[in-house]
Amino acid sequence: MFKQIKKFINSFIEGFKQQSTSAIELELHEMENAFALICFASLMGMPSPPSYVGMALLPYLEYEIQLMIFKSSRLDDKLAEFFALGDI
Amino acid sequence: MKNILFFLGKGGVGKTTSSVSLAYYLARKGFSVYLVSIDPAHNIFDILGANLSKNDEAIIAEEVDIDAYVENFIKETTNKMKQTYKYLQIINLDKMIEIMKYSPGMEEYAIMYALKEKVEANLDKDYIIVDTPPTGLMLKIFALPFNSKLWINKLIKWRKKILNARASIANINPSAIREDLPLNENEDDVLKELGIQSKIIDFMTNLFKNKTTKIILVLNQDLLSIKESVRIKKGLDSLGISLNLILLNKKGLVNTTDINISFKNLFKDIPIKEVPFLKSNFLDKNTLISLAELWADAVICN
Repeated sequence: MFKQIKKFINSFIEGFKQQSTSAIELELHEMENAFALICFASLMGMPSPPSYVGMALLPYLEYEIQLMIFKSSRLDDKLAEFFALGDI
Repeated sequence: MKNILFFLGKGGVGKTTSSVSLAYYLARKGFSVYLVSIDPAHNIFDILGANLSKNDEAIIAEEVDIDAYVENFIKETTNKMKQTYKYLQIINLDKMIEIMKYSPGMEEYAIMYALKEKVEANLDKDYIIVDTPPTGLMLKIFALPFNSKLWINKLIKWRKKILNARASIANINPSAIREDLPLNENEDDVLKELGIQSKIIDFMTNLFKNKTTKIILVLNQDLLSIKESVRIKKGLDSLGISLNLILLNKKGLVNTTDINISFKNLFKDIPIKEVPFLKSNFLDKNTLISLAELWADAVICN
């Protein structure tokens, strides 16, 4: 009985934890996405920062590049993302 | 920082000849000299092959192979990429090297990096003389550290924000952050690489702005050379780098009194020294020293 109550309360705590960080997570992903975009700004036709900076960082940005590609593929669904953020 | 002298100017005005004549002059005075050409189309040994052996007296002369620096940088990056992006091992990255070599900014970066390495390796010499590539490229090299510094500082700030946000989230909800992602500044390879780049940039900005660094603009009395020199001065002014000497080389080659007047007005704040045009195709060591004697005192501290 005691264990069940503890499990029930823990699931609540986990739920609150996830809810409390979800907005910061979204902000973090946007920052990581933008960081990769800026490092490879020449992809957008903006040759700054100098391309060697992007090249020097290229070996360490695997995760950010994956995120950037994922975010780019969802650019047409920005409205849905916005509603999801607002929990609508 | 040691005494470092840069020779700038339009192609063909006599930068290399002037730099070598100064090297001989300083060596004769008993100083140790490192003479380096960072011009991808270098010709120190072509011009003075018969005169200057690779290690003449107190002069160490070197022509830097810029292409080798570009290739090395790309190869190093490719190897690091192969370690990180394991799946790339099945793709032939080497073919990309040829394309990346010609990316904008690569040559400037290679020259900047080569310059840093060579200057650092020769700080034991009394004087370091740098023969530079023609105007356009050299102005980009001067601008590169200032431009890069701005970006690298911003990227470092940005990266620290990302790491802070990751650490805060991981603190509350560890499962929200992928396990292999770094959370603090000491673990982050991106921040480490930005730190390395930042050090290179700081070294270069110090090098260009240091009081012991002298910048000598070589020009001839023709209109094209003068116009280009004005552009060099404007470019350097915008970066806060000052010229220390104007060397009017090959004086008397063309009779242009009008140009002479406007030329003196354009550079009135900077000392001007004149070097006469010599008809001889081959300038021997003593002649070169006698040419340097006409102006060297203006840039030599001792």
